[in-house]
Amino acid sequence: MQAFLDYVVKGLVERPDAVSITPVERDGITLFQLRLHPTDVGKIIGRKGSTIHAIRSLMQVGAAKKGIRCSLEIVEEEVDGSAPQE
Amino acid sequence: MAADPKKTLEELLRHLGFDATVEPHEMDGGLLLDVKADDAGRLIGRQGQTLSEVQYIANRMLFQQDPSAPKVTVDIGGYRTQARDALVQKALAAAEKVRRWGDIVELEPLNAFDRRIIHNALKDNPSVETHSVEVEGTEKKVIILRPRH
Repeated sequence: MQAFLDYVVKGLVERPDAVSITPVERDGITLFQLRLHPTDVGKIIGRKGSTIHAIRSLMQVGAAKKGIRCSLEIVEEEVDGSAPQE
Repeated sequence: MAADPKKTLEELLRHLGFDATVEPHEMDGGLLLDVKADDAGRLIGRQGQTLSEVQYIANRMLFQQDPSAPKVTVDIGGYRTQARDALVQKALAAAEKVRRWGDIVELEPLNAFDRRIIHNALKDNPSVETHSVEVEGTEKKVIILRPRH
């Protein structure tokens, strides 16, 4: 599933070099933490969240087919290095 | 970088675990990407929801590759063609009701893509005119058919 996210997200942003995806396993669910160049965050969220919604929904279709469970969150790092938040 | 619709969509589907081949067809109003895949039902989704999301993401990626790239329509196993035919039939039946009884007929809430099919199917119909009306709580709108004066 990480390959799917990598392919789609890098295909949607201006700065694919700044994309990083970290899988975190928790209770049999893989949480993918997505980090982006700050100017690309809006692009991945999309108007009224339409793009992130479509990415999540396709990810669930792929996960169901493969029989796995996963979720996706965007991690926005604070510029001053304080705690990250969604 | 020139956009490559066939390769982009095939890669997208392959990463999702679908073994798919894509045939591009030129049509008026853009490019149709016809998908042949295993497990087509899963890829279409409820009321074509997944198919629409595949199409949306593919178009965003193609736009990023080349902002002047034409919009693509994604179809799987003739789903869109069949859904389109069913909508046109529904439009014609409603128009016949309006013509015969002079009633105003309201169709169920539809998205913009489906409304366009209905408006187009009836745009040259001499006896009815069509309008879209907003519905609270959804992006969808209903189409009202009235007798044309």
